Amino acid sequence: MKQVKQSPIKVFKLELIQLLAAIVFSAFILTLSALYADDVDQQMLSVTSQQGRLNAEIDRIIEDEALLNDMGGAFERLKEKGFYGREDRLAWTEVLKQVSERLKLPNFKYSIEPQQDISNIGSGFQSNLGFSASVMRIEADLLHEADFSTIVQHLSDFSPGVFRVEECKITKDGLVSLSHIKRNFGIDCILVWYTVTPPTQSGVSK
Amino acid sequence: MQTKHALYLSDVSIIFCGIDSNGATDLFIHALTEPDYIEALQRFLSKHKPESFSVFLDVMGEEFKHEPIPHIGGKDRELLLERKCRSLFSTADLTWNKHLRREKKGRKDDVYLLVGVPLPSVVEHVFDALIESKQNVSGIYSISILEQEILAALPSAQQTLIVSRVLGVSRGKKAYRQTFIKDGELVMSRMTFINGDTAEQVFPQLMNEIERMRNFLNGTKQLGVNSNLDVVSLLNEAESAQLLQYTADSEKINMSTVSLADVAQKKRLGRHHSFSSLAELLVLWVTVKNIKPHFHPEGLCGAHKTLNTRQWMSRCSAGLLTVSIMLAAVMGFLASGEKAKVDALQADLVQLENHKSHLAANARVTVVDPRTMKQVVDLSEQINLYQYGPDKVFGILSRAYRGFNEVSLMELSWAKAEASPQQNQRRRRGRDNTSFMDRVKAARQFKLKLALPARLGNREVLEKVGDFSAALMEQPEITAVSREQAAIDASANAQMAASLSGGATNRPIEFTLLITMELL
Repeated sequence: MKQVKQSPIKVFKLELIQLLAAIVFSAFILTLSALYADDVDQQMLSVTSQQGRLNAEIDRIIEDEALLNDMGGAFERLKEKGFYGREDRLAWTEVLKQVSERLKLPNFKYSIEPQQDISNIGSGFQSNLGFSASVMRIEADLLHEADFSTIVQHLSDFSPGVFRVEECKITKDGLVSLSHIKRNFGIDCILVWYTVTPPTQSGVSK
Repeated sequence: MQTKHALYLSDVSIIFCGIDSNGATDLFIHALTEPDYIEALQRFLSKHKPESFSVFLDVMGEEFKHEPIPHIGGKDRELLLERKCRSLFSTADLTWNKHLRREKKGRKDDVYLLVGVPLPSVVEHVFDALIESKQNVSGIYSISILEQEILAALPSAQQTLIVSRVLGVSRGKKAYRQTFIKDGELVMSRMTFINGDTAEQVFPQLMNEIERMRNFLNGTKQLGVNSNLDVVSLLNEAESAQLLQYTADSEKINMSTVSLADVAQKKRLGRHHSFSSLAELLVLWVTVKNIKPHFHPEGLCGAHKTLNTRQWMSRCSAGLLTVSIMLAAVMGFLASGEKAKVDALQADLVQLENHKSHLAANARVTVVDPRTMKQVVDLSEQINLYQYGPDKVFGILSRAYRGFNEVSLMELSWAKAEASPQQNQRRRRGRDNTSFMDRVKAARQFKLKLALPARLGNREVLEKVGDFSAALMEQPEITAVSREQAAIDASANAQMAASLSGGATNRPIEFTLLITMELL
């Protein structure tokens, strides 16, 4: 039996060319398809993202409008009351002076410490809200324990800002009566005044 | 079924046949004893141009060996078998092996059936002619090896001698094949020439040949001295009937016949075929069932292998193209669907943009952001809600004081906001992160200093203080009341001391209560 050896490349030249052409063509059309599909995916991502952004903006406008309807009046009242605005401690002292004269309080003293910023307000509140506190200490001899309520009520009604009774001590040499008027009470209280100071350059929002 | 072709080669004749669903049809028959057989074959092949065909060898001189070889695998086993075949069949042109079993004792060698086929010169000339004319030969089968494949279709026996006819056209001479199978394994196959044309001349000689075969098997201890030899005649029905008319001299030869039609049915070739010989049946079975060829000599089957490889490569190319086009089409289809969605979304975006512009145009303009407004309002509400102002504290204490006029209130002080143990710990470490809202909402403590008249006995004083504490606890805003300081302490772990001489004192008895209040 005779055997003639030929190089496999020569024997299968045509088939190899066909196979190579098929591989190149397949790679070409698959790459084109993949590029097209990728392009469409990118477009879909972009459009979905735009849709999400627009929906969020529309929701925000609607929510802002609802908030304005709900909170606008209350906010304006707080603004008038001085809770939202610059601290007016001079007005506080004027009210203290007025109430002292009205109740004829002997030995009435006050002191106000420098204002402190409060950044950690709590969850749901922004830290840069401009919330700050000022500590006021008042000491007085009262003719009646109810005078303390009067002082606090006057401060609340006529002073700009909002305060809390942080610490207080009401003492009497004799007995404290909650039902009968007596004299010679002493108070030593710490009130903390709170204000929200607007930023110096307020933005305009729609 | 597409017509396939087979070339049957024996020592005396050459037969080219076409095979289809109706069976095998002889297309070319020529005696190898005549001098022009090569030219006749080449003329036939050049005229018919068969696409491809298989070659079936039914020749003399085949050798069979059962050889144990060590249990090794892969390339080593192939090399060992090749070397074994070369040493055992030095004159063989074609060799074949088949794994039979693994020995259970000793080295546990693998036992192989090795077959060596020396080609007669006439067959070699035919092969050369096929190579020269570049015929597409798919492979070579050995009829003797194929015969063991029909064993399952025969009556079961420990040993069987199959008698079949070798196809041929030599005048005055016939050839028969005797294949001995023992324990399901092919042991040997022998071809015998018998002179004569008629049954009376041929079958007595064939019976003698069977006797000689039995003697040979006895001599080589392939068959026990007292064992009977089961002879199965696989000739056509007429020949089998004639053969069975003659009886062997030895009583230890059991003659029987099996119809070729039954064998064909058991081999699932269909009952409608009629076969003139076992060789024809085997050729049809191999072609129909696509049995793997026994030999693939490079020179003879190279063209077929090349053609097969070419076809396979072309199919690969076509398959690759088809798959890639289909994939690209599917990807394109899916992407088109996605693109339609993108277009629809873009149209929605225009509407959304218009809606947003409309809402923005109608929205009120404020200096302060509405969300900031909400926070300012919430903050103010929380401060006012948790305001422990004097009105609120006096009111709560007044409700509890009703009916306790003998108890005098001496001093009231707002203690610092009650801190949790964790807060105190953090405060000590300088890491107090408590938020303003948490501090505002925390419970507050108040110290209330009481005085009771000394004229009341200790028991009555303690009862009144206890009753007042209980009244305080009844107020919903008060969560705890405890005695911080007590002029009289009658509890079991307290120390008590008093001077009972010198008259009674009028000094009031003082207590300090620590009251915890929690709004909401």
